[in-house]
Amino acid sequence: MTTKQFVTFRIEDRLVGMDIMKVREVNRVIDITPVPHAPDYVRGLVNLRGQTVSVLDLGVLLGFDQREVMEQSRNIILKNDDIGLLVDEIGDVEEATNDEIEPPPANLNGIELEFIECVVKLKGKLLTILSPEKIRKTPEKQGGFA
Amino acid sequence: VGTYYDENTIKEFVAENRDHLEEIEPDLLMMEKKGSDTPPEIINRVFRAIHSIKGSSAFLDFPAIRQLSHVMENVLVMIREGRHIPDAVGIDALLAGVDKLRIMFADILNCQQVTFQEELDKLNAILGSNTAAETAKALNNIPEKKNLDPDHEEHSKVFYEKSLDKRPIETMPVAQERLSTTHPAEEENRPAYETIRVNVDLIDKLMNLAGELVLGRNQLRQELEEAVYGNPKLGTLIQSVDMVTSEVQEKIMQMRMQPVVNLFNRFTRVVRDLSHQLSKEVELFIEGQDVELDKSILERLSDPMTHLIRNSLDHGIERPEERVKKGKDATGKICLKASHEGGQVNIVVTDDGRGIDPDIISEKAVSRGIISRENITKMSPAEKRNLALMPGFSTTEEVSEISGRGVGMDVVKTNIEKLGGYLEIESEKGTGTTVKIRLPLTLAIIPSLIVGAGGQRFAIPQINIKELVCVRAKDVPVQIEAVAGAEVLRLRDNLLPIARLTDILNLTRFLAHYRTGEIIIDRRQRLVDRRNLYKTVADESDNPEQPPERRNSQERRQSWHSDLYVVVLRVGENIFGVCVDELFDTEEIVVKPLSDHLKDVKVFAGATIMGDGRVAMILDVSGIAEHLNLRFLEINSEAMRRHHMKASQESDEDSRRLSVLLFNNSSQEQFAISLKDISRIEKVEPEMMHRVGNKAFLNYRGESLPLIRLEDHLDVGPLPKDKTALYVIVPKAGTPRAGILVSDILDTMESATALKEQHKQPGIMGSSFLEDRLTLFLNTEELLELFEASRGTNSTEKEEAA
Repeated sequence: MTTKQFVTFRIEDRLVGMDIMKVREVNRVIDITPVPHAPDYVRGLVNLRGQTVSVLDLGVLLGFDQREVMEQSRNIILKNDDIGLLVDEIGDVEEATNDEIEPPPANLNGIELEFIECVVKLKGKLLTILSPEKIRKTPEKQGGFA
Repeated sequence: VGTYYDENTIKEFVAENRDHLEEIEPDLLMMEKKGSDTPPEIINRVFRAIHSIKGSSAFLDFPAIRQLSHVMENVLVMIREGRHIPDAVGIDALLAGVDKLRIMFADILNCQQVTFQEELDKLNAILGSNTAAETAKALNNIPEKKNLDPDHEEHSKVFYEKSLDKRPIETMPVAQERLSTTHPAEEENRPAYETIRVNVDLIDKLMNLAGELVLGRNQLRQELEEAVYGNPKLGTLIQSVDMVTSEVQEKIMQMRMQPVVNLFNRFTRVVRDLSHQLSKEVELFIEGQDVELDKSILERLSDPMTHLIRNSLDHGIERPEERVKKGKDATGKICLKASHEGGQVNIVVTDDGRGIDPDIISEKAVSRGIISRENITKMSPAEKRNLALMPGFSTTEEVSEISGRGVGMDVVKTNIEKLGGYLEIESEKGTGTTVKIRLPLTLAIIPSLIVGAGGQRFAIPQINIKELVCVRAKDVPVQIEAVAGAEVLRLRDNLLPIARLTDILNLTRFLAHYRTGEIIIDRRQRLVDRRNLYKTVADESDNPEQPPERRNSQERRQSWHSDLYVVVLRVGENIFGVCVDELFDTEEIVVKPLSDHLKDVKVFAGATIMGDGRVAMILDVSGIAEHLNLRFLEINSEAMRRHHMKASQESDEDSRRLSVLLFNNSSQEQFAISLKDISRIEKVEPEMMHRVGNKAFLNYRGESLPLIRLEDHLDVGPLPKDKTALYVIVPKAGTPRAGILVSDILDTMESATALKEQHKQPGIMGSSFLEDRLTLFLNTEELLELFEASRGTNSTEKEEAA
């Protein structure tokens, strides 16, 4: 039976995950250069070994307040892309077999539904798995430069 | 067709032969120009190129290409042998052949489908007029000739004899050897350097890596700065890494560079064809062909330049008869010129045509709703012309039907600006038009000024910066004011719209405390608003018992902490200033494009990584201008209005204002005398005066100067008797005639020349109220005459009495 691994991370009190194969690396958050007039979910740019990476505030994307950068904060860099996601804390790597992975339930609200790839049943809890592709395509309707 | 060979061989074949075609065109045009004087090496060069196309196409089995190039070659043989003088018809036929070959190479696998009968006919017509039979025979032979080129052995000889190894023709399959041998032969008349074909992608990647290397080096240098003191070896090491890095970057840049002649040469053809089509006579002059530009810029320059040249030809240059009527040379001139200027490249397109009529442009702008008719009246001709550059001025569907220049110029301008350059038009109605384009050398690395605002750093591309201005704190209230709701800086008699970078970017505005340099939050609405600031300063100051406001603000205005740095930026014709908090160095920065999430942020052109590893945003100057919605027009017209006002005021002042000296005689009356009439004013002690009878004299420069007492000649109060120190006003005259004795000098001031008739009398021009007092204006000339007349009578009286 094939298994998949998921990186988990915390936004406020929510634990969400992402397919480990779609994550390039997880970094400490340093020196974000804010970009004035950018949409509010864009925190700014960081230098990743000579490449500029746009850091998106996952909190804002999921409908929370803007994240405060703290000691535990992490920047999750997506693969094949110049995008990083700002999260409050990184969690364990979870493993799930194919039959534990389910499509998103129908009763989710709008914002969450927008970014969800699937749901993973873990012992006693459900883990929401976010889709990097959907995040990347975040529409500009989030507001921004007028 | 061509199926026996792998894709790469075919690609190579296409690329190489396209290059040949590029090279042929200018040579053909030269042949047309020179006619029978064409130097043989040019004909040979063309011949070799065509021959090489024929050879390789035969080898790889592309019969259509071979057939066409073969006939072209035959025409060239005739030309070389002097049996045909290159003329417009011949060259036309050859150029048509070149064009057709280009089409074939553009889609090589389907080249058999391209019809070329028309071109063949044209070429054959030339051949036919001489050696029809010979050619027909040659043509008939073609299909059978699977082997290469035996039918024109003689011509082949020319070719092979020049190749390096000079192997006998029989043993040399042309196409196979072509790659190794033809190049040196072809390059024979050019500088002998060797070239290698490299994929542009690869160079781009190298370029990026070089950029990373530069960044890494910069960071390394900063980190190691202190360690160098402990280890002197490190210093030399860093230096050599430094130098090598710079050189690597420079060389890779050079790999991307191409001479502008590659682009300019294309226009020779455009000009030739279009001038025939329009039956105009036009000559194209090219200057500065060796100037090099980044390949990607050069490629993207092709369309806008073609547009400019078509514009010049179509709308600028007049028909020959019209030109002659105007006293111009029947042949029009279009000049392309490239030159370096301060790390940038200037490209200038000039024509000597009819120029741009500012009124036609402004009319069209009004009808397009770009500007109101009212605003037009305030504009100078140059400003009107520039309306052609405004977005929306022309739409593509109109390009062909509108007569009048400036069509599509807004599109050209936008394209140039996308390349990080800018464009300006100068034109004189009747004598021609000049379009100047200024471009960066490359798009990947741009020299930029680093500035600070709101605690962040930003990069401003040097190409957009006109100058830096520091406004001293004490001058801020004088030099900065509000016009049409925007703040403007008065800069050398011009009004420059300005904005603070912190405001543009919605950053918290900081301000250095004028005394301590401590950073506090600035809450002023405008730069000139001082009272708000004062309150802020007072509130946050530790010492509530500050000296009164006045002293405080005085002190602040003299502090360098309050100096204002204005970066003067240029967007096309328009100039505006951006106030920044700090100025840093200029740096060569590597541009990193912005991700999709940020593409709508118009005020930034990209990002870069600074020496310390932090990301800094690159400002997009035209985006900022757009964001600010700078009302250039209004501000310009305000500036014009002021110029006019100032000029008329000055002339008014000359005619209507008068500088006068105010003085007293008796303390009740105030007098004025025009400064122009005064030669000197002397303070006199009683002992300097002497009396002769009832007349007073002054020892004045060794002479005895008679003194006038006003009360003796005018109906005015007397000098106070008790006054010891008096003043003498010496009126202007050839030799001093007399001095006017007065009690006090009060002031000098400007006065209106219009006087009231009241109190007018001989010696007094009239009166006016100055400083709220009735003032009598002396007429010095009349007064002197009165005085001299009285002296005359007095002396005659005396003489009579004696």
